[in-house]
Formats: sequence, structure tokens, C-alpha cells
Amino acid sequence: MVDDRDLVARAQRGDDHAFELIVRRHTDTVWRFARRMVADDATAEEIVQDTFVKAYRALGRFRGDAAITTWLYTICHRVCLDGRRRAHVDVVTLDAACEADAHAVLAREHSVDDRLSLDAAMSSLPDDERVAFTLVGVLGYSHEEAGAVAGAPSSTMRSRYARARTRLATALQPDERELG
Amino acid sequence: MTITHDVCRDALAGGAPVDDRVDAHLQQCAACRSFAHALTDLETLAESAREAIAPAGLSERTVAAVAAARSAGLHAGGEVVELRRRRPMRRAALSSAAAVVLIVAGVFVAGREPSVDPDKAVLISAASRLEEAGTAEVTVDATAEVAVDVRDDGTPNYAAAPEEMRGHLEREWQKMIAAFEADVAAFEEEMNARIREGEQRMADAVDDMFANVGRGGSAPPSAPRAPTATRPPAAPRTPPDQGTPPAPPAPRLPAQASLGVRVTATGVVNASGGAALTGSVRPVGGTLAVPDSQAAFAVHATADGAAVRTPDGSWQRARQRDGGPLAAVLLDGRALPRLLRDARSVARVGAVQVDGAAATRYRFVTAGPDGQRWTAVADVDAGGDVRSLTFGDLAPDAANGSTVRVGIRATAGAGASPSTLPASEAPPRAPSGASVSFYPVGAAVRTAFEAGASR
Repeated sequence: MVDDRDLVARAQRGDDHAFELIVRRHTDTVWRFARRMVADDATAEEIVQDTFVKAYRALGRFRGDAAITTWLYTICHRVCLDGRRRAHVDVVTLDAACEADAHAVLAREHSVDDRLSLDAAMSSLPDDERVAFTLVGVLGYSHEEAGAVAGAPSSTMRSRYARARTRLATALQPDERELG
Repeated sequence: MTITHDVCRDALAGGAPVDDRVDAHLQQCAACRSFAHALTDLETLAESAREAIAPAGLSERTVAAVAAARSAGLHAGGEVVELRRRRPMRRAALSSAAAVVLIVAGVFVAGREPSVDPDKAVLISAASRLEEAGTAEVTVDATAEVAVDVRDDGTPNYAAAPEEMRGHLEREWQKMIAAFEADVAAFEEEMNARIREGEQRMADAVDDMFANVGRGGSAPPSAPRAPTATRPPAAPRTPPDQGTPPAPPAPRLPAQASLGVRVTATGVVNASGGAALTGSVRPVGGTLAVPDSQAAFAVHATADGAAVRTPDGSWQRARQRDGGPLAAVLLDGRALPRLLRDARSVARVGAVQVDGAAATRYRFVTAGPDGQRWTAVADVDAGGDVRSLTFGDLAPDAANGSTVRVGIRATAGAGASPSTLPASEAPPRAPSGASVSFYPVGAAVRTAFEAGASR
């Protein structure tokens, strides 16, 4: 199998087929990160596509200091944050408001029945803790590697990861009355 | 020194070192133990998420998106071309009148509610197909633990165990007794040391009292005194009522003798709750594994109850006591579709071969009969039928917990009654006698077959 760095080098020289191979090889990887960062498949799919388009655009600036997955996660993280910022400043349209209501209703319904769902539990996390848990807890990154993606010191990632675990475990705990 | 819940949970979550104080707190605090279990659940869910794969065709769509950007003038390392993809429904709603928007939104809301994760939908469909078939041939391969209770006089009641395993159980029991006796000896030594220390303190106190009396007896006992010439100063002593550690708990006799076992069985289950299986159980694990020691058994279950044929050939009424994985399959044919329907956090792992046929593997979390959480893996073939289901305890000690693998071949239209056992082998009547218990190794979840007469 062709090495990632060779593919990047070829893509940087204008070999579009090489970039296509990078996309096919790492779609699942980026998907796992994106899917944990947002609440639904459709948005995650948009983020994955945006990530690779931005990666294609930024290919000339990739020096190969880090693994390509780390580089893709970094781009994906920024895409997610950009999406959040746009969502915050957008005018709330009628359909968006209805969608929000629907999500609220679904969230309430799922709060009991879907307690086991990682999605439901992660929806309560702040962005920084969600990134930390996704990178360290789900994708198996070290605190240092995760810090490189999120632009934070490893000690910060460690504390964010611990806080995320505390919140998630609390959300996954049965009700007090169920403890018997 | 005690610690708070927050300190304990912070340590468990990785925010602080775990030390003896955390262990001590966990021993006493059910809420923090529940938190620790939830952390274990979280690890399992994270592991499932780690194996998630992208929706089919996403690579192709992404390649197409990059190609579209390229054709729009973007080249690798080139200038910014911002791509914006909007969802068609949202764009349509934006351009519509308010009333239309509300209708569209209503459709959107109504449309979202029944939407199910496509991977979970595969499992639900497989459950329906299993139920529609009515009956399925199954092969069961499980690891669990056979356990016998200890009588009030301190001896195990081996009558509940298959005869072929009693020797091994006795050896395991003797090992437990040896450990217990060592604990008793250590406890006695500790208590004797405390007694000697107490006696010494009393003697010292008496000496001090007489020394004060010799000086006229007017000085208060706590007043500073010069050391006497004939007696060296006593070493500082901890006052009897301060700083004395609490007495250790007395060792207790084990309540059960147990042995790891492997259970294999074949037979038929049906969607109405019936099951008819025959199989064997043999010891596994540690120094107790003896390949030539195994016991045959049979299970016959209907919607009204179940019976187990024990090694002596008699049938014992059985019931599912604590809802463990093994009993769930052997005693209730409804368990298989229910485990599929109750799937949560479903992740598609990838393609596998099951009995030479291509299948897709799904990993998920599901719930046992009593609501306890189990991990599970299902292999679904190209026709949408589940061919293999593996599940086990989702407990802190899950690495040692029971695991049950069930091979499934649906047999459509075979009727609702188990048919594997010959009529002469069916349980003749409601039985009585000793109990036969199978416990999974994990302490948190138990599986039990329990006969009627012992109750």
C-alpha cells in the first residue's frame, strides 16, 4: 500500500488521483471524529466533505510534520467550530426554530430511553470537552496529540478529558432509585 | 481519612491519582460504585464509536465534492473557494410563506420522530424476521460459572452440582478454606497484639499512678514530671482513646463454592418463549480444567416454565432467577429478538463470514431481562437474517464475565413448539429436588437455574 506521505507528495505535485486515494483511505477516520462532534449523520457528512475540500485547498501548506490523520482532525475541528459560530450568529428562521423544538422534544424523550446512547450523553458536553473526549476517549489519541489538534496544552486536554468523563459517566448512571 | 464523592469521582475519571482512600470510599459508597460502573459503560460505548464506519458512498460523494470544487477553480494549495451546501428542506422552508413553513416544519418534525438509525433498523428487521419464522435452530456456546451454596454448618451442598464436577468443586473449596484459615490466623495474631498492647498500657498506667502516690499523690496525672533515676523515660505513647485504628473485620466463611464452566448446547427456540436444547457442561479455567470431565444436560422450556434434566436423568423445574445471559437464551426463546430490538449505540463493524456466508457485523449495547446492560455483536447475512449473536456482561469485571454465543438458523413455519427432544425425554411432571445453578463469573450479574423444591 502506498504510504500516506507519498500520496500527499504526489497530490501536492498536482496528482488529483493521489488525493482521491487519501479521501477514500481516511473518510472513515474523519467521519468518526465528525460524527462525535455533531448530533446527526447529515451534518457530520457535510463536515466530512468540507474537511476534505479544505484539506485539498490547504495541501500546499502540509509539511508532513504530523500524521495526516492529525492534520485532517485539525481541519475537521476548525470546520466544526466554524459551523457552530455560523449557527450562533445566524438569524433564527422559522424552520430552524421548529427544528430546534423537535430536537428538544426528541432530547426529552430520549433522555430516559436512550440513556445508553453516547450521542445523547455527549450532546451535553461543552465543545472543548467534547473534542477532548472524542480524540482521547474514542480515537485513542494521547493528550499531547489531542492538544496538537485542539491547539491546547496537553495538561489542559488531560483536565478537559477528565471533566468530560465525569459528565458522561454521570449522564449514563441510572437514577438513584434504580440503584436499589 | 475519608474523601468526598467529588474527590473520588475526579480520581476515577482521571483527574487525580487513585489511592487507597478512593478504594476505601468505593467500598462504602454505592453511588460512587455506580459511577465507576458508568465509567466502564462509557469505555464500551467509546469502543463501539471507535469502530464506526462512514455511511455507504460517503467516500464517493466526498471525492465528487472535491472534484466539484476543482472544476469551480479550486486547485490543491490554491485560493479559498467556500463551499456551502444547504439542506434542501431548510432552503425550501426559507423561501416559503409562514403557513407553508409551519406545515413543512410539521412534516419535518413528524418525519424525524420515527426515523431510526439505519444500522439499528437492520437489527430490528432481523428481529422481526426471526419472530416471523416462528422457530430457529440454535447452537449455544457459553462460559459461565457453576456455584453451590454453603450450608449453615459450613459445608458446601454438592447435591446441587453435577456429580462429575464435585471433585473439582471440593478441591476449589479446600483452596478457599485454606485462604480463609490463613485470614483467621492473621486476624487472631492482630487481635492478640492489640490485647498485649492494651495490657502494657494498663501496666504503665498503674506504674504512673504509684509513682505519683510516692511523691505525695497531689500532682495531677497530666502534670509534667521529671524522669526518675531508676527508670528510663517511657516512649511517647498514643493515648488509649486516640489514634487507635479500628479493629479489622473478622474473616467470614465463603458463602459459595464455584467453578468456571463452558456450556455448549444445540436445539430449537421459538418466538413464543419455548426452547428445547441438549448439551454439556464442563469445567474450564485455571488449574481446574479437566477435559474429560463433563456433564450432559437438557433444557425444555415453554411459555409456562422450564425444566432442566440433570446428570442423574431426573428433570428439575428451572426458572430464571437473575436474568443472566445464559439463562436468557436457554430458558426463553423470546430473548434473541428482544436483544436485537433493544439495541443501543449500534455501530457497523464490517464484513465477516459466518458459516461460509457473507454477513455484516454490528456491535451494540443491549439490555437483559432485568434491565442490566450487556455488550453484544450480531452478524446479519445478505438476506437480512441474523446468523450469529454474541453477548455478555457489561460489568466492571467483564473480562472475566460470562459470554454467550448463539448461532441462529431460522426455520420458517416450523411451528411454535420445540421439537428437538424426543417425547420420552420431555419432563414428565412438575419436578422437585435439589437446585442446579449456573452463575456467570461476574459478580454484578447472575444467571441461575433454580429448581422448585429448594424454594
